[in-house]
Formats: sequence, structure tokens, C-alpha cells
Amino acid sequence: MKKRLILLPALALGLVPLAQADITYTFSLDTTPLIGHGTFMVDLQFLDGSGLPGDLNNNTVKLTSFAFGGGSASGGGTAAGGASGSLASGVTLKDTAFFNEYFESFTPGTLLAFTIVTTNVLDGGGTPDLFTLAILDHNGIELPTNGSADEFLDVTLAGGANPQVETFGSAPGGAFSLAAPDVQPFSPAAVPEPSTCAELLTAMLGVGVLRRVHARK
Amino acid sequence: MRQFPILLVAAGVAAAQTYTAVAIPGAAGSPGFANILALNNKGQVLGDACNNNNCTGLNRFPAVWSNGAMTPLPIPSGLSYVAQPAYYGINDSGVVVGTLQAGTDRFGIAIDHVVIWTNGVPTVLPDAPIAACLGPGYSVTSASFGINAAGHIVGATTYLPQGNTQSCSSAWVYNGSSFRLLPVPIPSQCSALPPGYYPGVRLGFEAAINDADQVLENLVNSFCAPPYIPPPGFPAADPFLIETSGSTSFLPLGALAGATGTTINDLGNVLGYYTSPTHLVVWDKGGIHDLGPSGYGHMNQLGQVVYTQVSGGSILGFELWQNGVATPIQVPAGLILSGQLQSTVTTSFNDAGQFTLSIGSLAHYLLSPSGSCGQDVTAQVQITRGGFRYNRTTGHFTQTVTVTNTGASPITGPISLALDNISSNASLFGIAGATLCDVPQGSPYLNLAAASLDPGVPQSGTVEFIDTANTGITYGIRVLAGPGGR
Repeated sequence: MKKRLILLPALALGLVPLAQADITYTFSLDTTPLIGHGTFMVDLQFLDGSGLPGDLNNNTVKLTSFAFGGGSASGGGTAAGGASGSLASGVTLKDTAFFNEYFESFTPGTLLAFTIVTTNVLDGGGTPDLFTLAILDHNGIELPTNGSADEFLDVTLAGGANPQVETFGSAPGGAFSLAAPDVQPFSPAAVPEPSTCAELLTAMLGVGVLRRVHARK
Repeated sequence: MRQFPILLVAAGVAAAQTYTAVAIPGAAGSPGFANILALNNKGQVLGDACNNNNCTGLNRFPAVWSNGAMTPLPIPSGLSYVAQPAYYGINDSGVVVGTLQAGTDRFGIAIDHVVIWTNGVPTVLPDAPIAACLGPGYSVTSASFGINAAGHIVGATTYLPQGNTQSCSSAWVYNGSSFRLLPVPIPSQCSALPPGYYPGVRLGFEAAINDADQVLENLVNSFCAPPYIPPPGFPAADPFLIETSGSTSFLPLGALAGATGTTINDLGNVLGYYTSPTHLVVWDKGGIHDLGPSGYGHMNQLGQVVYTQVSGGSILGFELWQNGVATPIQVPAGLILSGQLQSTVTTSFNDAGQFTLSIGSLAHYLLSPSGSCGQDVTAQVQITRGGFRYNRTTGHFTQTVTVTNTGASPITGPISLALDNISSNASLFGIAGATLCDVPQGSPYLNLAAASLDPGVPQSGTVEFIDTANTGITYGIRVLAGPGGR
């Protein structure tokens, strides 16, 4: 019973990490300059640090709530490695392989927006997992940006409190001039969710039970 | 794409570059080389060896010379060695590819098979399956033409009819588990030939492959007229590239009547030649370059070409060409004796600037650039690696590497990142050279744009890898600094 005696107060104080907390961001890219120029592709890549077995399958990036500001997704894309889903239903990228990618065509509207939920575990080999986003033209070639590989977004999963987020705008001289996307940490409202209330209630009940057990002893 | 802080330019070789020479046994050795076939970045020399000037039967075999030691490559039972320099290659992992003879068919045509030696152990490759000719009634012969860093091999297979009438032939790339048959681009000018003449063109003998699995082949013109090959030459040849997608493109010939490509590097530069007299030709982003009367040229990943300079049929000496500039090579005094120059040629070249000179089959030398070395300052810096992204435009995996001087004093440049033990599936792109005086030897390096590393000031650069398998890339890093070699 000793474990339980320790566990219940700890749970009440919120000290037991059941799993590393996911980190949430909102992403928004003004795609107005692309309107009227046909279809493009959202290219989502999630590359493992080394691809070695010990580094695989320790991070997940989930992308949900895609919005196109009057534009639309094509409805189906191409997935490689640990990528699944669609822009309509949400895309999940797991580092089950070195190279994990999802891309899908879309007709641009005024914006491309979605929510990012990611873990942040640093691989053992010193090279972090990296989630990136690029916009491809209809030939599958990146729109040039100031990013080192023509990406608009880097999310480096290097461990620590938060991933390292970098954004890039279009490179000078390109056919389109897009500003760097806006990426913000997602701040949920201060109202406790029902599940949180239930956990608190359970914990308080546990403390109450402990006190009664102590009192009987 | 932002400006790369890493200079993706080749390190120039100064006009005053000097060399040291190490002798490699000639055919009179025990064993020794009759011919040098290839040189990798580790300084390993692949050759066609003999025993005590006996170059017949079992006394002739492929061998690898490294640091003064000659190691014969074993021949699997049932196969025999036939000296064919174009069939052999060695990559930086020391993997050798070659072609051995199994016998002849009923018409006396040689039946060959491709063999790879990994750590000296031979493995006979299967023949490439060509659907139209599978089944009984064929003898199958295969040949290899090259190997890249990942161990992918370019070769060709022919199904020789032994009673039936149809033959099949195809060039291919073997990636270690499967064959990719390569298309043959038939120029539109050849599609309307009279019956029996179609297609009017055939593949040339040689082929080459780079680390991106681009293949260089040659289409020889037998019956097709210009304009796809400009006049006045006829017949003539035109090199063409085959991408992994299967698309093909002919190299521009300019005013040439024809040319043959022999080597393609990771930059996409092609070395070739035309006759007669023989001129070496380089295709690069700057167009087509005629290196003048020459012979026996070799190109490395930097786009440098070392070659034998010829005039009026006589050998004048040796030159190193890069970006349109040819620099005479100063061979160590006394290396080539009076009367030997006319039988001396360059026979191989690597990314560290080493090359071999062969005086007939009598003697060979490995020449290495000499001079001071830079310093290994890895212990004085912190190195931070970013993650990878695949760039669809370039076909490369990119990564940001940041170097910070953790000491109290500036580190004098130039600053180089040497990447050691890169996983065999990957190759560093756009290298400035390969290490020679800072061990381990043969590691590719890039130069940072920063002139020096000031204490506490991070300097970042982007490195690019070719990784056609899309599998994990691992490596170690050394930071080399200061003037001198690497």
C-alpha cells in the first residue's frame, strides 16, 4: 500500500507526469499572392535525426483544423513513412522512418492555417527531429524562401521546454512574395476542462481517503 | 533560398602546388600493376595486376594497393579475369566492382558476370532480368561500368539467343537489391528510317554513374542524320543523361560533330572527349569547354580535371583544369626519366587532389599535394546540428550546422567542416575537397564563409547530402582551421 500512499498525494499535487506534455501552436500563412495562380501543394516533412532504430518513433507531430481562407484542399495526398491522414481530416507525422512526408494539392485562398500539436524529444545522436512546411508549385518544386531548403517553417524538436520554431518568407526575386507565417503558442482558455475537474475531484477524494486511513491507524 | 553561409566552391589549387610521389609497383612487381584502373579518396588504388611481368592466366588479376600493400582480389570459382579497365571501379568504402568471364556461348561470344568485392570478398551479381527474353534459349552476359558511393552499380546485360531469334539488351542500375533498366532515347530523326535500319543508333560502350544515380551514356549514330548531331561528323556520338525518373537529355555539342562522355560527378559535370586529334571536353553549368589536345583525363567531385597535355601527338606534360583555367602540374624532379615522358600518362584522380602517373606498365606513382596542414580545432568549438529537410528542387537533404568558438582567442580561418564516416547511403554535396593530411584521410569537407571564428560567435552553414535511398544520414564532424591543406 505504500506506493498508493505516495501516489495519491502526488497525483493531487499534479506531480506525476503520465506522459510528456504535447506542445501546441497555431500556424497562419497569408496565401493571398497565390490566388488565381492555379493549385499548389502543402508539403509537410518530418525527418528523424538519424534514422537509427534507437532514435525512431519517439516524436509525433499532429496537424489539425486546416483552413484555407476561401480556398480548398484537393481531398487526397501522398504519404511516405510515418505520415497519415489528409488536410481535411488532419495529418499525423510520426518518425517511424528517417523520411516521413505528406503532401497534398490545394487551391489557395487568403490564408493557410492549422494547429500543430507536437512532442519534443531530442534524439540520442545529437541531430534533432525536424518538422518543416514548404509550398510546392504544381510541378512539385518548392516556392523559394529564405529557408535553407526553401521551407516556410522549421520546428526543431531539440528537447527542453519548447521546440525551436523558425519561420521564413519568400526569397527575393521569386514569382510570389509571401510574408513569413505567423506561428503562435496555443494558449487555451483559463476555464478548466471537464476532464481536469474530474481529475481534481478524484485527487481530492483520494486525499480524503488517505486521511481516513491514517486516522484509523 | 537564403544565401548559404557555406561556400560551396572548390578549393583552388595554387599554381605553385608541389607534390610528393610514392611508387606503386609496376608489372614487374610481385605482384604489380600493368594498368591502374581507379583511385578513391582513401588513397586506395585499384589496378590490373601481374606477377613478375607474367601477365597471363592466373598471374593476372585485379588488386588493390593501399599504403604500400598490394592485396589481390580473389576470383570466384568458375570465373576468370579478363583485363578490361572500363569494367572496373572502386568507391570510397573500398567496394570494388568488376566483370569476370564465365566462358563463351555456342557462337564463341564471351559470357561475363558482374562481381563486387566487399572487404575483399567477391559476390557475383545476378544478371538483370529483361522481361522479353526471360526463359530458356538464351545465354546471358553482363558487364559493369561504374560504382558510386552508395554502392549502386551501372552496367549492361545482353540476352544472346541460342536457338531462338530475339535478343535483348539493356543498361541498368543495380541498387543492391533490384535492377532499374535504363531507357534509350531514340531521336525523332531516327524514327522514320527504312525497315531494317531502325533505330539507326546504338549505345556506346561506356557508362558512368554519380552519387545521385544520374547515369551518363553515349548514343552512337550509325544511320541517323543531323540535326540531332550537328554536321559535319557522321557517324558521331552524343552523350546523354538518364535521371532516376527515367527522363533523358542529350548534352549540347555546340560546334562539335560528336563526342563521348566518360565521367559524371555529383555537380552534374561531365568529362568526355572527341577525336581526332583527341581533345578532352568538360560540360558544366558554364557550358561546354574544350581542354585542347589531350588525352587520359580524369575528373573529381570538385570539377577539377587532371590530364595529359598533348601537342602534335607528343606528350608535353600534365595539367590540372578547373573552371576554365589550366595549371601545369610540377612533377617531382627526377620522377620521369629522360625518354619516359612519351609513355607517361595520368591514370586516376581523387577529391583530395591525389593522382596517379603511369609510365607504361613499367612504373606507377601516387602523387599527393604537399605542404603544410591546417589544425584540428574540434576540441575548441561547440558544434550544433539542426535537423534534416529534403529539398525537392535540388534533390538533396539539407541540414544547418552551427560552430561556436568556446575558447578565449579567435580561431584563424579558413574554417573547414570535415565529415567523417558518412553513412554509405549518403554523400556530401558541393565539397571543397577531401582530407589528406588531417587523418582520417578521404573525408569530404566544406569551407565556412567566415574568415575566422571569434570567441562565442556562432557561425552557421548549410550542408547538403545526396541520399537516394531516403534513409538516415550519420557522420562525425571535425573542424579544421588555418591555412594549409586539409
